[in-house]
Parts: sequence; structure tokens; C-alpha cells
Amino acid sequence: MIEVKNLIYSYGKNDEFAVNDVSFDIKKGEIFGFLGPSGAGKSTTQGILAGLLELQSGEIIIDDQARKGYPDKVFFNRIGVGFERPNVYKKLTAIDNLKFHASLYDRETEDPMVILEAVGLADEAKKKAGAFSKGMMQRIGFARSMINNPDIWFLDEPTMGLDPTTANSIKGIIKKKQKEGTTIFLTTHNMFVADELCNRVAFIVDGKIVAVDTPKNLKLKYGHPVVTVEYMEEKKLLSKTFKMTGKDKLIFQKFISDHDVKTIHSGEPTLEEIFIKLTGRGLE
Amino acid sequence: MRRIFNLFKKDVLLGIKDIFILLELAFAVVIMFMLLFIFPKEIKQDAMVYIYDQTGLIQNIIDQFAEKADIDMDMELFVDNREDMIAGMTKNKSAMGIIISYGEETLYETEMLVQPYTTKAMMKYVETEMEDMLSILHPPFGTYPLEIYNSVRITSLQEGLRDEIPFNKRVLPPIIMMMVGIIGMFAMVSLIGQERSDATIRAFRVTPAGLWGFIFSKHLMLMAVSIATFSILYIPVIGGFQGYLQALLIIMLTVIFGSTIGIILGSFFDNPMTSMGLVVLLMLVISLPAISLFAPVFSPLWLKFIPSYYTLFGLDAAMFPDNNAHIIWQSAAILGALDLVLVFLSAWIFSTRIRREA
Repeated sequence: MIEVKNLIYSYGKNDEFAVNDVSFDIKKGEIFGFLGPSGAGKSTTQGILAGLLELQSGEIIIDDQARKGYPDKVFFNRIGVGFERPNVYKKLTAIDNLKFHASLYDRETEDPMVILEAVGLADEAKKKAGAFSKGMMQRIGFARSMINNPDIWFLDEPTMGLDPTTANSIKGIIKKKQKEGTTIFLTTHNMFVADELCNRVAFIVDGKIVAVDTPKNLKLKYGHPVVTVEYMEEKKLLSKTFKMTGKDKLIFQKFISDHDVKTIHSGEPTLEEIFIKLTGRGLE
Repeated sequence: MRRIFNLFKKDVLLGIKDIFILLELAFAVVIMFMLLFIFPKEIKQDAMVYIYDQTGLIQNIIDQFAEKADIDMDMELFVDNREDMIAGMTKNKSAMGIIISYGEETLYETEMLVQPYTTKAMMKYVETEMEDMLSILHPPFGTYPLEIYNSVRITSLQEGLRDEIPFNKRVLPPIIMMMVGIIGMFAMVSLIGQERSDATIRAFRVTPAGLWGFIFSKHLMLMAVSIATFSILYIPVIGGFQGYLQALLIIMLTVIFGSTIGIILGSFFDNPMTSMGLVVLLMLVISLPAISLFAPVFSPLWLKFIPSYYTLFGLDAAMFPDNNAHIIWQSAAILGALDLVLVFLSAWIFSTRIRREA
């Protein structure tokens, strides 16, 4: 559905590239995660794809149509964009914010009240957005981004700053939209969100993509499963971790037969650990 | 059209909650009441009078009376020729001049030179003083030969005496220019700055509605507010609709000028408060032509390069009709041409700047 080839972007139009020769593709109905630390080029890539920034170099092909310059109205009718920072009219009520945005589209839009209900703000519909907490404003921004029932949905850190319950309901909406056929481009530095939601993820650092694959494949390819054993020795509870590869497997088998084992926990590497292994940098 | 209407509706909703726009409307009401009930309809003038005495008459009076009465005369008032007098009057905008010469048919002939905006009351006052002074030489009791009395004549340096217009009305053009025309610049900087600092413009940019519509609806909203503010000030102070449409045309063109400058400033400053220093400086420059309106002798060429010059003189010609109706259309044409350029230029600068932001 979306093909990106050799994307390059420089804010100063010089040799300092925010995005440097980035290529990937996103299939229809897929949730594609863009993982990287702050300043890695995630938001710039999303900005170019969503039509906020000019296409300086490279190709963007959507539904077999190559983009030239800035996108047209047809494209903007099809997309929804949720930003990291809440962007609401603070002097308008929550419902007026959504009604205003709904009025800007040429296609059928969602009922603003239904969407507010979905993000848990139905009771606050007639309150001014300026009186809301950051998390509530974030939810209005999220609701706004889906008001036109987009075919392609760009989400930048959709759960950041939200409490676990609200974050779960937001993740639930994203999964539901995916099931309905929406293609989702999700930028985040939260590996748990990416692991839970994304079909595939791309690791980006310093404007360059380091790896693209499913979270499972990345873990299998670059990580090693481990087993942690808790055991009693001289009346003390101790623990030891074994890699489940090569001769460590045999050492593990011998260890459990020789010791008074109390618990055994298997574990797999996190996406963050894989990210650090591949890039030498953390995600924060 | 539906989209523009919705944008306009949103801007009106935001506008009526915008502090600058609320202040503008509130100030318009306050100033209207001040003009009607506090501003004087006439103002006092202290005038300096240059004297060019070809006859020695004044010197004679000084010799006769000043020494005895211990009167200290300011000799700087005396000039040696007509040219020096006009030079002095050009430098000192409140000064008048009196030339005393021997007449062909009368003994003395007195010519009074006045500024174009010198009030008739002031002229009458000086004329009476002259009569009194001359009468001293021809006692008894303030009477003097008819030939002297008839010889005082008044000459204006320029045409355009407008002292019949009450003062509270005369100050209306600059007040309207600043309150209505130029305040649009403040309001536009505020509105755009708010959209940028709240990042709502980013959310707008990923919708099918273009940036032209975004700007156009803000122009529309400011014009609507300006019509209201203008009417609040104009109709009660002028006392009706005389020249209303012509003045409205001039002020609307000025509103567009101000708001396009506001768009350009708003493109460079993402927080309205950071641009206020520049906005105030611009407003000072824009207010300079007001000097020329009240003192037409001050009219250097560079003043005509400030667009508000045409606003002021266009408004003045519309509000106080005389033989200068062409000034309205000339001002409208100049402001209209300027607006045409600025509307496109400001939209281009705005969209170019905004499109660099992710």
C-alpha cells in the first residue's frame, strides 16, 4: 500500500540529514512501527509521509501512485494524523473541536460524540478543552485524528502521558481500526507499545533505518532466550540465569539435577534490548 | 464555501474569546464616549506672533511705554523681512506673523500671516490685539483713524482652513486608523500565534482545507470585527452616516493592510508576545502621518511612503467633505494596490514558513 524509497530530508537543505536514505514498505491493514530515540528521524519521516513536509528526495508511492510535491486534497481526505503534542483549540469545547475538524473533510465523518465516548470523554464533551489535563487533551487529539475514519492513520506516541487504563483503551481502538482495514503508521520510542501493537517495526537511528522485521523475528534473530532458576543453597534462596543455546543448555540441565530448584522462569529479550544490541543506543 | 463558513465560524468563536479583539471592541466604546463627552469641541491655542515692522511703529510703542512700565520684550519675535518670517513660521507650527507697512491709501497697512490650521478665533483675537495696539497711538479711548482700522488684512500661507470642524471630530481619523485599521495587525499576530503555539495549525494542515482558506477566514473575521468597531466610533461621533461608506472602504483596505503585515509577522514568531516589540515599533511608524494631518506644512516626501498616510487623508476627506473628494479615491487606489500585493505576498510567506515545520 505504501512504498518509501530512498527518502532523504534536510531541514536546512544542506548535508545535515534528518532522514537519510530511508526505504520501507507498509502493507494494507498493517500496523507498522517506527522505533527510535528522540531526534532519530521518526517524526520527520511521518511529517513527509503525512504531507506536512516537502518531499525533497526519494519516492513515496501510495496505492501505486507516486507522489509529486505536496499531496492533494484526495490524500488528506484519506489520512488521519495524531501528534505527540496535543493540538486542540483550548477556547473551544471538546465537541466543538471535533465538529470543526469534521467539517473540513469532503467524506463522511464519524459522529463526534461516538468518538468522544470511545476515548472516555463523553461526559466532558461540553467543557472547554483548555480546562483539561494534558492526558485529556491528548485524547481529544487522538479522537480528532480518527474523525474522518482514515484509510491511513499516522500516530505519533499515541499512549504517551496516559494512565495505564486509558492507554489500554487507546490500544484497543487502534487494534479495532486495524481489523477494519486501516493501515497504521505508528512512531514511538515505547518498545512495549510497539511489541504489543505492531505487525512489523523499523529501528531508526540518526535518520537511518537499521532493521525492519516483525518483533518476533527480530527477537529470534538478534536475541537469545534465557532461563532463570531460583534454588536453595546453604539455607539461602539464590538465582542463576542460563542462555538456551549451545553448551549452556547442557550446563542448565546438569544444574537443575544437582540443585534444590524452587522456580524456573523462561524469558525472551525485549525489543529495547535488541535495539540496544543493534544500534548501541537506548530508546529514551 | 461550506469549509470557509466553518473556518469563519471557528475564527469568530475564537475571536470573541481573544483578548485583543475584546479589548479593541471595549476600547472603541470607551473612546466613542470620550470623544462625545470628554474631548473638547474646541481647543485653546497659544500662538507666537512674529513681527516685521517696516514703519518703526512697534519700536515707537516700546520706546514710549515699555521702559516706563518695565516691560521686557522678546526681541526674537522681530524679523527683518517677510522671508525670515515665513521661515520662522515653517519652523514653529503654532506661530503667526504680522507685517506692518506704510499703506498707499491708508497710513498703516497691517498684514497677518497665519498657518493653514489657525483657528478663526485665534485670528480674531490677534486682529483685536492689533487694533488695540494701534489705538494706543490714536487716543482717546481706543479710537483711531478709519484708514488704520480698515487696513488689517489676513493672509493664509496655504488653503485648507478647517476650524469649523469640532476638535472631537477632527481627531477621529487617526483614532479610527489606529483602533480599527492597524489593530488588525495586533489581532492577526495574536490569532496566528495562538494557532502556532497550540499546534492547532499542524492539525489543520493535514486536512483537505488549504492554508489559503485558513488565512482568508481570519481576514474575514477581522473585517467583521473592524466594521463593528468602526461603526461604534464613527456613527455616534460624526452623528450619522455622512461619508460612512467611503470611510468604510478606506478603513477596510487599511484593515487588510494591517492584517497582512500581521500574517507576515505571525509567520516568523510562533509566540504572539515575542513579536510585540516589533509590532509596537511598526505602529509608531504607522502613526507618524498623523502629524501631517494636523500640521499640513509638515509633509516630507518620505511620509507618503507610509501607507497610513493615505488612510488618514482618505478618512479625513471622506468624513469632512470639501473639494478634496479625489483624495478618497486616490487613497483607496493606493491602499488597494498595496493590499493586492500584500495579500499574495503574506500568504506565500506564511505557507512557505509553515511548510518547513513538521
